[in-house]
Amino acid sequence: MNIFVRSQENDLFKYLSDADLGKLMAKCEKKSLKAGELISSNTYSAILIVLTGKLSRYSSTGRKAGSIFPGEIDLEAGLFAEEALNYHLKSNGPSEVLLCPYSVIQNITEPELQAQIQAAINDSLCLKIASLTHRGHDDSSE
Amino acid sequence: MMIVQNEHPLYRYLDEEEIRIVEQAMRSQVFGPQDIILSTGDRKRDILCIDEGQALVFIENEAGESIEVAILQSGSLIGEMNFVMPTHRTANVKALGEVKASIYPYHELSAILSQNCCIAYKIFAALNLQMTHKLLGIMK
Repeated sequence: MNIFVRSQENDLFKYLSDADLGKLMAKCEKKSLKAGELISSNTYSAILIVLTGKLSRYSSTGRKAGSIFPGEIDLEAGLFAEEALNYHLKSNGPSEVLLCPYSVIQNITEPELQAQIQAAINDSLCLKIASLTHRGHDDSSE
Repeated sequence: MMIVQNEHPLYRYLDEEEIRIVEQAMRSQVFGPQDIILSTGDRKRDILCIDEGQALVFIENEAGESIEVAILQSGSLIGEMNFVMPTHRTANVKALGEVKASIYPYHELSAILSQNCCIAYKIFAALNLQMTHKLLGIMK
Protein backbone atom coordinates (compact mmCIF):
# COMPACT_ATOMS: atom_id res chain seq x y z
CA MET A 1 0.00 0.00 0.00
CA ASN A 2 1.45 3.31 -1.02
CA ILE A 3 -0.79 5.77 0.79
CA PHE A 4 2.02 6.80 3.16
CA VAL A 5 5.60 7.87 2.48
CA ARG A 6 8.44 6.48 4.55
CA SER A 7 10.10 9.14 6.68
CA GLN A 8 11.76 7.23 9.54
CA GLU A 9 14.48 4.59 9.83
CA ASN A 10 12.82 1.87 11.88
CA ASP A 11 10.17 -0.34 10.34
CA LEU A 12 7.46 0.18 12.95
CA PHE A 13 7.51 3.98 12.91
CA LYS A 14 8.51 4.35 9.26
CA TYR A 15 5.48 6.42 8.24
CA LEU A 16 5.36 8.68 11.32
CA SER A 17 6.13 12.38 11.54
CA ASP A 18 9.03 13.42 13.78
CA ALA A 19 6.56 14.63 16.42
CA ASP A 20 4.61 11.34 16.49
CA LEU A 21 7.85 9.38 16.46
CA GLY A 22 9.00 11.23 19.58
CA LYS A 23 5.69 10.59 21.36
CA LEU A 24 5.76 6.85 20.74
CA MET A 25 9.49 6.39 21.32
CA ALA A 26 9.00 7.89 24.78
CA LYS A 27 6.65 4.99 25.59
CA CYS A 28 9.10 2.29 24.46
CA GLU A 29 11.61 0.52 26.64
CA LYS A 30 15.21 -0.02 25.58
CA LYS A 31 16.70 -3.36 26.54
CA SER A 32 20.12 -4.95 26.17
CA LEU A 33 20.23 -8.64 25.27
CA LYS A 34 23.07 -11.03 25.98
CA ALA A 35 24.32 -13.45 23.34
CA GLY A 36 21.95 -16.42 23.24
CA GLU A 37 19.17 -14.70 25.17
CA LEU A 38 15.72 -15.90 24.14
CA ILE A 39 12.75 -13.63 23.49
CA SER A 40 9.15 -14.64 22.84
CA SER A 41 5.69 -13.15 23.03
CA ASN A 42 5.45 -14.92 26.40
CA THR A 43 8.44 -12.91 27.61
CA TYR A 44 7.26 -9.52 26.40
CA SER A 45 3.85 -8.29 25.21
CA ALA A 46 5.54 -5.87 22.88
CA ILE A 47 6.71 -5.30 19.35
CA LEU A 48 10.46 -5.64 19.25
CA ILE A 49 12.61 -3.26 17.20
CA VAL A 50 16.25 -4.23 16.74
CA LEU A 51 18.59 -1.29 17.35
CA THR A 52 21.98 -3.00 17.22
CA GLY A 53 23.16 -6.58 16.70
CA LYS A 54 21.14 -9.35 15.09
CA LEU A 55 18.45 -11.78 16.25
CA SER A 56 17.41 -15.08 14.70
CA ARG A 57 13.89 -16.49 14.50
CA TYR A 58 13.24 -20.15 15.40
CA SER A 59 10.12 -22.26 15.15
CA SER A 60 8.96 -24.24 18.17
CA THR A 61 10.71 -27.28 16.67
CA GLY A 62 14.01 -25.38 16.58
CA ARG A 63 14.10 -24.73 12.83
CA LYS A 64 15.74 -21.41 11.97
CA ALA A 65 13.36 -19.21 10.02
CA GLY A 66 15.09 -15.95 9.28
CA SER A 67 17.02 -13.13 10.93
CA ILE A 68 16.07 -9.70 12.20
CA PHE A 69 18.49 -6.87 11.53
CA PRO A 70 18.74 -3.33 12.93
CA GLY A 71 15.69 -1.28 12.03
CA GLU A 72 13.54 -4.39 11.54
CA ILE A 73 10.76 -5.50 13.85
CA ASP A 74 9.33 -8.76 15.17
CA LEU A 75 6.62 -10.09 17.51
CA GLU A 76 4.14 -7.76 15.75
CA ALA A 77 1.99 -10.84 15.02
CA GLY A 78 1.37 -11.02 18.76
CA LEU A 79 -0.91 -8.00 18.42
CA PHE A 80 -3.34 -10.14 16.39
CA ALA A 81 -2.75 -13.71 17.53
CA GLU A 82 -5.24 -15.25 19.94
CA GLU A 83 -2.49 -17.31 21.57
CA ALA A 84 1.23 -16.97 22.23
CA LEU A 85 3.29 -16.98 19.03
CA ASN A 86 4.59 -20.37 17.94
CA TYR A 87 8.14 -19.14 17.46
CA HIS A 88 10.82 -17.36 19.42
CA LEU A 89 13.82 -15.14 18.83
CA LYS A 90 17.41 -15.54 19.94
CA SER A 91 20.03 -12.84 20.15
CA ASN A 92 23.03 -13.91 18.08
CA GLY A 93 25.43 -11.74 20.06
CA PRO A 94 25.03 -8.73 22.35
CA SER A 95 22.09 -6.74 20.96
CA GLU A 96 20.02 -3.73 21.86
CA VAL A 97 16.30 -3.69 21.20
CA LEU A 98 13.43 -1.30 21.73
CA LEU A 99 10.18 -2.77 23.05
CA CYS A 100 6.95 -1.04 22.11
CA PRO A 101 4.20 -2.54 24.33
CA TYR A 102 1.13 -3.84 22.49
CA SER A 103 -0.93 -1.66 24.83
CA VAL A 104 0.76 1.46 23.44
CA ILE A 105 -0.32 0.50 19.90
CA GLN A 106 -3.80 -0.53 21.06
CA ASN A 107 -4.36 2.74 22.90
CA ILE A 108 -3.53 5.06 19.99
CA THR A 109 -6.64 7.11 19.27
CA GLU A 110 -5.62 9.28 16.28
CA PRO A 111 -6.89 7.53 13.10
CA GLU A 112 -3.97 8.68 10.93
CA LEU A 113 -1.40 7.45 13.44
CA GLN A 114 -3.30 4.16 13.80
CA ALA A 115 -3.32 3.76 10.02
CA GLN A 116 0.39 4.55 9.73
CA ILE A 117 1.28 1.93 12.35
CA GLN A 118 -1.04 -0.73 10.87
CA ALA A 119 0.36 -0.03 7.38
CA ALA A 120 3.89 -0.49 8.69
CA ILE A 121 2.87 -3.81 10.26
CA ASN A 122 1.25 -4.81 6.93
CA ASP A 123 4.63 -4.32 5.27
CA SER A 124 6.57 -6.22 7.92
CA LEU A 125 4.24 -9.25 8.04
CA CYS A 126 4.10 -9.37 4.25
CA LEU A 127 7.90 -9.34 3.97
CA LYS A 128 8.23 -12.10 6.57
CA ILE A 129 5.74 -14.34 4.77
CA ALA A 130 7.36 -13.63 1.40
CA SER A 131 10.85 -14.39 2.69
CA LEU A 132 9.69 -17.64 4.28
CA THR A 133 7.65 -18.87 1.32
CA HIS A 134 9.58 -17.56 -1.68
CA ARG A 135 13.12 -18.28 -0.58
CA GLY A 136 12.35 -21.34 1.52
CA HIS A 137 13.41 -21.84 5.06
CA ASP A 138 16.90 -21.51 6.37
CA ASP A 139 17.15 -25.10 7.48
CA SER A 140 19.82 -24.70 10.09
CA SER A 141 18.62 -25.50 13.57
CA GLU A 142 19.10 -23.93 16.94
CA MET B 1 -8.95 -1.25 20.95
CA MET B 2 -10.77 -2.28 17.77
CA ILE B 3 -14.25 -3.72 17.99
CA VAL B 4 -15.02 -6.80 15.90
CA GLN B 5 -18.17 -5.91 13.97
CA ASN B 6 -18.62 -9.01 11.80
CA GLU B 7 -16.77 -12.06 10.45
CA HIS B 8 -15.99 -10.68 6.98
CA PRO B 9 -12.21 -10.96 6.43
CA LEU B 10 -11.88 -7.40 5.14
CA TYR B 11 -14.77 -5.64 6.89
CA ARG B 12 -14.13 -7.20 10.30
CA TYR B 13 -13.68 -3.86 12.10
CA LEU B 14 -15.87 -1.64 9.87
CA ASP B 15 -19.29 -0.34 10.84
CA GLU B 16 -22.18 -0.31 8.36
CA GLU B 17 -21.48 3.20 7.08
CA GLU B 18 -17.80 2.37 6.52
CA ILE B 19 -18.75 -0.84 4.70
CA ARG B 20 -20.97 1.18 2.36
CA ILE B 21 -18.01 3.42 1.53
CA VAL B 22 -15.66 0.51 0.83
CA GLU B 23 -18.30 -1.22 -1.28
CA GLN B 24 -18.16 1.73 -3.69
CA ALA B 25 -14.86 0.22 -4.86
CA MET B 26 -16.15 -3.35 -5.02
CA ARG B 27 -17.46 -5.29 -7.98
CA SER B 28 -18.88 -8.80 -8.01
CA GLN B 29 -17.86 -11.55 -10.38
CA VAL B 30 -19.03 -15.11 -10.89
CA PHE B 31 -16.48 -17.71 -11.99
CA GLY B 32 -17.57 -20.97 -13.56
CA PRO B 33 -16.17 -24.38 -12.59
CA GLN B 34 -12.43 -24.64 -13.48
CA ASP B 35 -12.22 -20.94 -14.36
CA ILE B 36 -8.86 -19.44 -13.47
CA ILE B 37 -9.32 -16.69 -10.89
CA LEU B 38 -5.63 -15.75 -10.56
CA SER B 39 -2.52 -16.82 -12.44
CA THR B 40 1.09 -17.07 -11.30
CA GLY B 41 3.08 -14.06 -12.49
CA ASP B 42 0.04 -11.80 -12.72
CA ARG B 43 1.04 -8.38 -11.41
CA LYS B 44 -2.45 -7.15 -10.53
CA ARG B 45 -2.82 -5.96 -6.93
CA ASP B 46 -6.57 -6.37 -6.49
CA ILE B 47 -7.93 -8.14 -3.40
CA LEU B 48 -10.61 -10.80 -3.89
CA CYS B 49 -12.95 -12.29 -1.35
CA ILE B 50 -14.68 -15.60 -2.02
CA ASP B 51 -18.31 -15.00 -1.09
CA GLU B 52 -19.64 -18.39 -2.19
CA GLY B 53 -18.02 -21.60 -3.41
CA GLN B 54 -14.56 -23.11 -3.19
CA ALA B 55 -11.31 -22.41 -5.02
CA LEU B 56 -8.14 -24.43 -5.42
CA VAL B 57 -4.71 -22.85 -4.94
CA PHE B 58 -2.05 -24.64 -6.94
CA ILE B 59 1.47 -24.13 -8.26
CA GLU B 60 3.33 -25.84 -11.07
CA ASN B 61 6.66 -27.54 -10.47
CA GLU B 62 9.57 -27.43 -12.92
CA ALA B 63 8.13 -30.44 -14.75
CA GLY B 64 4.90 -28.52 -15.30
CA GLU B 65 2.94 -30.72 -12.91
CA SER B 66 0.25 -29.08 -10.80
CA ILE B 67 0.73 -29.26 -7.06
CA GLU B 68 -2.26 -28.49 -4.86
CA VAL B 69 -1.47 -26.04 -2.09
CA ALA B 70 -4.81 -25.34 -0.44
CA ILE B 71 -8.55 -25.23 -0.90
CA LEU B 72 -10.09 -21.86 -0.11
CA GLN B 73 -13.59 -21.74 1.33
CA SER B 74 -16.11 -18.93 1.23
CA GLY B 75 -14.92 -16.08 3.43
CA SER B 76 -11.31 -16.42 2.24
CA LEU B 77 -9.27 -13.50 0.99
CA ILE B 78 -7.05 -13.83 -2.05
CA GLY B 79 -4.28 -11.46 -3.09
CA GLU B 80 -3.77 -9.53 0.13
CA MET B 81 0.02 -9.94 -0.08
CA ASN B 82 0.17 -8.32 -3.50
CA PHE B 83 -2.12 -5.56 -2.29
CA VAL B 84 0.40 -4.69 0.41
CA MET B 85 3.61 -5.14 -1.59
CA PRO B 86 4.03 -4.82 -5.34
CA THR B 87 5.22 -8.19 -6.57
CA HIS B 88 3.52 -10.85 -8.67
CA ARG B 89 1.05 -13.58 -7.89
CA THR B 90 2.92 -16.63 -6.68
CA ALA B 91 0.23 -19.26 -7.22
CA ASN B 92 -2.72 -20.06 -9.43
CA VAL B 93 -6.25 -20.08 -8.12
CA LYS B 94 -9.11 -21.78 -9.93
CA ALA B 95 -12.78 -22.20 -9.16
CA LEU B 96 -13.72 -25.72 -8.09
CA GLY B 97 -17.42 -25.16 -8.76
CA GLU B 98 -19.24 -21.92 -9.31
CA VAL B 99 -17.53 -19.20 -7.28
CA LYS B 100 -19.01 -15.83 -6.44
CA ALA B 101 -16.33 -13.34 -5.53
CA SER B 102 -16.07 -9.71 -4.52
CA ILE B 103 -13.20 -7.92 -6.19
CA TYR B 104 -11.62 -4.78 -4.69
CA PRO B 105 -9.52 -3.14 -7.39
CA TYR B 106 -6.23 -1.80 -6.00
CA HIS B 107 -6.48 1.78 -7.25
CA GLU B 108 -10.12 2.27 -6.29
CA LEU B 109 -9.63 0.82 -2.81
CA SER B 110 -6.38 2.77 -2.29
CA ALA B 111 -8.17 5.99 -3.23
CA ILE B 112 -10.80 5.38 -0.54
CA LEU B 113 -8.19 4.48 2.08
CA SER B 114 -6.11 7.57 1.23
CA GLN B 115 -9.10 9.78 1.96
CA ASN B 116 -10.26 8.04 5.13
CA CYS B 117 -7.66 7.09 7.72
CA CYS B 118 -10.27 5.57 10.03
CA ILE B 119 -11.29 3.06 7.36
CA ALA B 120 -7.65 2.59 6.35
CA TYR B 121 -6.48 1.53 9.79
CA LYS B 122 -9.37 -0.93 10.16
CA ILE B 123 -8.74 -2.48 6.74
CA PHE B 124 -5.00 -2.64 7.43
CA ALA B 125 -5.67 -4.28 10.79
CA ALA B 126 -7.98 -6.84 9.14
CA LEU B 127 -5.21 -7.63 6.65
CA ASN B 128 -2.74 -7.93 9.52
CA LEU B 129 -4.98 -10.49 11.18
CA GLN B 130 -5.12 -12.52 7.95
CA MET B 131 -1.34 -12.32 7.51
CA THR B 132 -0.74 -13.25 11.15
CA HIS B 133 -2.71 -16.48 10.60
CA LYS B 134 -0.69 -17.13 7.45
CA LEU B 135 2.64 -16.48 9.18
CA LEU B 136 1.82 -18.69 12.16
CA GLY B 137 0.71 -21.42 9.74
CA ILE B 138 4.07 -21.27 7.99
CA MET B 139 5.95 -21.33 11.31
CA LYS B 140 4.26 -24.56 12.43
